[in-house]
Amino acid sequence: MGPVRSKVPIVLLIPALLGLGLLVLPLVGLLVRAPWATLGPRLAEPTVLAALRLSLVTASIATVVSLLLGVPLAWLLARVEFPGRRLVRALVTLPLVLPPVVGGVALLLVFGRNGLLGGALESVGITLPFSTAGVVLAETFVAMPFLVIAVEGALRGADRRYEDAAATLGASRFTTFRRVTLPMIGPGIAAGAVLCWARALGEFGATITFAGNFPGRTQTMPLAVYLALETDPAAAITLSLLLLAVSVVLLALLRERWVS
Amino acid sequence: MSGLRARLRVRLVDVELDLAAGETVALLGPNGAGKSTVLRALAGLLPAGGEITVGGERIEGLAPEYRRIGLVFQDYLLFPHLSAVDNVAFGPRCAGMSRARARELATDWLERVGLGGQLRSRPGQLSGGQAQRVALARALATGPRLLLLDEPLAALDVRSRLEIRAELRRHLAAFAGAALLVTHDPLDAMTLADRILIIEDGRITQEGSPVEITSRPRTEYVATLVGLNLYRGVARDGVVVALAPVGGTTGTRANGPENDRTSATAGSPVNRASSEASAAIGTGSPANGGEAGAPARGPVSLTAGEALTGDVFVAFPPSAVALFRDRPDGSPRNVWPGRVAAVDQHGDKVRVRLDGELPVAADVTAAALAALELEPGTPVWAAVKATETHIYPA
Repeated sequence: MGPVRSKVPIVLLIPALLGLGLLVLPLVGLLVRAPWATLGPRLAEPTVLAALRLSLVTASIATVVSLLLGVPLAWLLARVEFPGRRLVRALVTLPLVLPPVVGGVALLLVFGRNGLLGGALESVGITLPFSTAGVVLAETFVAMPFLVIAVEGALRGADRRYEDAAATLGASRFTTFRRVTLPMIGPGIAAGAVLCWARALGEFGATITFAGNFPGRTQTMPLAVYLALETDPAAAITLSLLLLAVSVVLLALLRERWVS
Repeated sequence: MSGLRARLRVRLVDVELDLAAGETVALLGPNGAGKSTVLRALAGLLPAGGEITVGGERIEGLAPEYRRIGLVFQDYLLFPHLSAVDNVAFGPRCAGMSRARARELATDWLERVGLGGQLRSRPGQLSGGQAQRVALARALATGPRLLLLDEPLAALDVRSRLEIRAELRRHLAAFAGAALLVTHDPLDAMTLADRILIIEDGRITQEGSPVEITSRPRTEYVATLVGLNLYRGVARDGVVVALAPVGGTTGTRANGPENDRTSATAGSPVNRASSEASAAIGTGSPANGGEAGAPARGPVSLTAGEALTGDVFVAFPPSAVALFRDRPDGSPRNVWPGRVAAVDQHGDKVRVRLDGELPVAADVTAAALAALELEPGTPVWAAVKATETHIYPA
């Protein structure tokens, strides 16, 4: 009689372990080199707190904006037949694969002082580049597709016959959406929002390109980390640790929802 | 109140419906016949060609939410995030009623269907029978002009089925508009409906009261449902010739709507036999010679209980058929030879199916089966009394 289980082939095992190390080692490094003794005071430094507050506020606003615009967009993609729908879906998901810096440049070309809409906006007193609103815009641009994808998936997975049932009871499409569809895809929306928020919180490329790096105004956590790395590596590690902690909490939240 | 008149053409379905107000009509047919398609088209959930008139108003151009048609879905589709009372109040709320008034009305309806104690229950906490009642209350609470029910009892277990069927009957009787229910269960159709429409392959193939349907089947599907041998032929003063089976109980297992597809007809319908008609007057040749007792093949005629002339159907139950190893002599009965094709237990009887010129199903006792030593391939004679046959115009 042979062994109960066949062996794991070494050809697969070695690259698998290497891959695991590649993913986990940097995190271990972060934990090992963290200035644990001075962590408290460092976190309480005004610049750190300012960056943290700005990050939390802008990421949250970006998530709210994404919810307000992204959920209807996802509904449109999932429930309404219109010509060019596939193209629209491709466009919506483009920021997922677009280098964020390119996104920042593109935003400048539209909302910048000499951009397509920038002049018009400026004439009514709205200046987006290098402002906190600009940070929100950059984060929304990069993060909203995550929400749209998640919500559209939830909509496609939902049993449309409940919507049929609502229609036979006299519900308009909007009433059906509000009272039947929305509650039923609630978990999907929540997961999408968490994902969107996490992406917004970590946004770097589009933000620094479009909104710049002004402490207290546009300097979010990732920007502060990058800047601190040159002047005060310990501070950079501290900030990184904070972002890591937030990520772990989010992951735990998402797993609650997604592990099936 | 409002009746329904409709001509629907959708996918492979092409049907005409005419329901009086207060009437309950069952659309009975095998799976895949297009029953649910008809309901969805009437409710506006499926784009369809044709015309739909409810209570004198043309509605085929309206979106579902403006049609005022109540639809009870097969699996109820109660909103899982709403309590029973809020499910029922949903329709009235959509009609613009205040929350309090809608709740009041919903409570009233739930009490009427015997669920006054389950107002706050979520659909997940309800039994199948309770969910069915909530679904019915939800459809009725909107004050629909037409009520559609899609397999209303199919999802229930046997016990709650009986109870819910009786209740549903009561609610349908109280409903002022027309009600159309779709089912594949003949029992549901016969107990709930005033009139039955048989739908097969997207067409209405027979129509009538439950009594008419059960006593005068006109298609193989119906004959199988009601458990009759059914033939079509040409009659002259009650003597029917050019007989050809219309399927029916010659199927593998009768009395199951799901089995109708498997019950292949042994012979082709009428046309095949009609060419033999002129030569076939009189009894089929009674010769019983030949090797291994192979029954003589020849046209078969039947003497029916009633004197009719023209194209007719002949129907008789398997229990009316007697089987003999040798040709019974000197009997006024219709006799013809056949060969045992299959033997199945059928309740407390044994159903023997015969192949041959006139395939037939016969119910015999287990004792008779043993005495006759019947097994597949055995040549036998089938006999049926004229008085036990039922003959009616085709």
